[in-house]
Amino acid sequence: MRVLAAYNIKGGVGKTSAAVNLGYLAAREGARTLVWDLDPQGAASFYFRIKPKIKGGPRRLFRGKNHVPDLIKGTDYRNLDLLPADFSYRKLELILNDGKKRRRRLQKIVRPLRNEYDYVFIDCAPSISLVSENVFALSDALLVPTIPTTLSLRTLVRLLDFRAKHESKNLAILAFFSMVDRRKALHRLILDRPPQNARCILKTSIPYASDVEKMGIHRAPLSTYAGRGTAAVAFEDLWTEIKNILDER
Amino acid sequence: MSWDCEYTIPPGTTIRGVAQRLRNLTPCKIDRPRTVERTFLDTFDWRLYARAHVLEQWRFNNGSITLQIRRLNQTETTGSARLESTARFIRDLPAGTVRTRLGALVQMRALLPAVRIHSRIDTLRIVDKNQKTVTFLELENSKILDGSRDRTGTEFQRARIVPVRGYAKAARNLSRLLVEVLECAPAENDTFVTAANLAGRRPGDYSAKLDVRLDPSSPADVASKIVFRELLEIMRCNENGIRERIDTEFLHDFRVAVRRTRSALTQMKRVFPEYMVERYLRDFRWLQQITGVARDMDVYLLHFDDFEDLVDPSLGHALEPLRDFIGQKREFAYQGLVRSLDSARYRNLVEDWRAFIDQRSADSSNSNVATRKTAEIARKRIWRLYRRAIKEGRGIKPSSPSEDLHELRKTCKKLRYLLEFFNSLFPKRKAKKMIRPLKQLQDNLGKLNDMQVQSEVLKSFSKSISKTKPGEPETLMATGILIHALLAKKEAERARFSENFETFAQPAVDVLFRDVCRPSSSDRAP
Repeated sequence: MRVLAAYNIKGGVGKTSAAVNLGYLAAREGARTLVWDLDPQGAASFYFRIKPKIKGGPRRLFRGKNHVPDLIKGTDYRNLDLLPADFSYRKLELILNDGKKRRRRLQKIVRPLRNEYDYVFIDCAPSISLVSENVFALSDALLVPTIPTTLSLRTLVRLLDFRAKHESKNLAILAFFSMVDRRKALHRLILDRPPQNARCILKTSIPYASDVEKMGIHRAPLSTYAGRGTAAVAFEDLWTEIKNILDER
Repeated sequence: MSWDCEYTIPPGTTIRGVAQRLRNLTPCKIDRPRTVERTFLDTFDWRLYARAHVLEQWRFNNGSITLQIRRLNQTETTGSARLESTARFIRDLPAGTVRTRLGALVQMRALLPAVRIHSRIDTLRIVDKNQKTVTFLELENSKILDGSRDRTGTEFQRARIVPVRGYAKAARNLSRLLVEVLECAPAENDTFVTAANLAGRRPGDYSAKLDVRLDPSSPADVASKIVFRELLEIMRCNENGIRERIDTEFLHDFRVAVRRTRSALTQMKRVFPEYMVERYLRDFRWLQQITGVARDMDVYLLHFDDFEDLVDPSLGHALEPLRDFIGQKREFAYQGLVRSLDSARYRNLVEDWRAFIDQRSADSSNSNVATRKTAEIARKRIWRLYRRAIKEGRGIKPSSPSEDLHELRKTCKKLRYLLEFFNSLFPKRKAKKMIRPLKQLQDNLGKLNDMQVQSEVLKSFSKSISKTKPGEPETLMATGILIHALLAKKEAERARFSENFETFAQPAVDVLFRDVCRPSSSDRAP
């Protein structure tokens, strides 16, 4: 089982669409895939038309017998399941802080899913917190959508520093440019001359496209309604690139 | 699961009719129908079916191929993979879940088409108020593509519920609708079994395991012939696979059947006239000999990846000429073997042997011994071989030559065959408990023997290679390292012998053998 977390300290950069679309592509290829909506906003759950609600609240995830397998819901697509969000995930930080081994508590609850899924995509909430540290501990790679702007790149460097300090060297950081608008000079400039210190940036970038925004109307992954659009094709390329990198590791 | 997955559609009802009625009963969406050619794959000895798995290869109209694995009588796939072209062996599959799952079940066997059907699948999605799919219903109309002549083209219809995780209630409700309103009946068999039966095949009809039910009080000659007939069937079934070199196990099963036949003949030799036993023993020994080299080469090639792991990774590639060399020898051996299978000697052997087996017992048996009860003879023989194995094993010291271990290995093999022939005469649990430690000891002795023989044979191969291809010093070096590693492994295996033997010779097992083989009062009666 490979765990890939769509993560960024910043919000509104395309984490959810990355988790949902890449998860869909993995499942379409036959891999048993789980999308874990860890964002209290529940956008990934919304896209899959699944109620963002965890029966018994998030504390149930950590109490007694492992309930995670019972909370998973199948989506409209074969091989693709979702562990829905819950609005009280906003308090997840406090719950994690309660117990022992607080940085590994999320890792413990996904362990029973090891033989059930080939890929787990986590849609994280924007922040850098104990929840994020838990996500880092259980993930094989962070997929970091990055808008080609100065501030976004600065955030990415912060993240790289954080990883170095916390010695989570096995964690791959796979950043990619997201919401790229070639009409903007700054986007063009950064894309053509990416910063030297960010070698972790993948070759594929995701364009800013209205197709992606329409996911909210269709409530479905991009490829199901605009499969030939530039954004859907870019996600396919991105998925191929990510798989190649993971296979080489 | 509280609902059935597959349903038969009542005669006179079309798939379209079911779909339309369902649309009036529950909110649903209909996907574009798919047409697909489905090949159900399994090994010759039904390894997947035996472990309740179904493997389907779907070929769509656009040429794309996917492989799906699921549990028998269930509709959710537990793994699927896209293929570039059809795969015959596990090594031809892309890395991933399907390969891992299948690898453990299929091992070195080839995946063969068990039945091929053409299906048109209409998918209905039962949706909730958010238009979210809560259950899939697949309505299939399938046609047999290649069965026997009168069966090809036979059609059958199926409705199958594919549940969505977390929505069990919706699947239950749909099941109720199908049965109570649409008069569909739960299907007796999985689509795979239904299609195979319609094409004239019976999944699970072959196994290399000897499965005979013997009557303890039947005369020994009658029981022996039941065993012989079963073994001959196994030999005959595997001939074609050997001729076509489908995979290595056809020859293996063939050889095991030959060896079992020889072993049974030797053990039962007083049951039949001496001249007959001698003739058949000679002929079956010949069969064993002509298949030996081909099997050895198969084994080397099967283990070749392990061989490469035994040498330094930087030299792994240097073994390739050795692989080619063995491959050539194998091909040559198979050609000779196929010629022998086509020879008059083999044909006569099979015909005469069959005639002998089919002959009425009194005409072909040594009357006084033959009429003794099977159970009595079986117990006596097993006891004798067991005692011999214990004696030989006790005599083996750390300094004993490998010939002694080889002798013990042969005795154990004979004992195992006898236990398997007469399995049905003993209580199942006891038989299992007797075979288990024996099997463990046999594994140990087998590995020891393999490594000894392999290292010797590789030595002779490297001599041949150095004559034919003197310019390959790396290959010779790598082969040398390999031989050294095999001998080291052999020593490690040798160190495990006494432990394995003690498990076999422990008092608890001894009690079992005594218990089972002690002549009963009825056997002692005249």
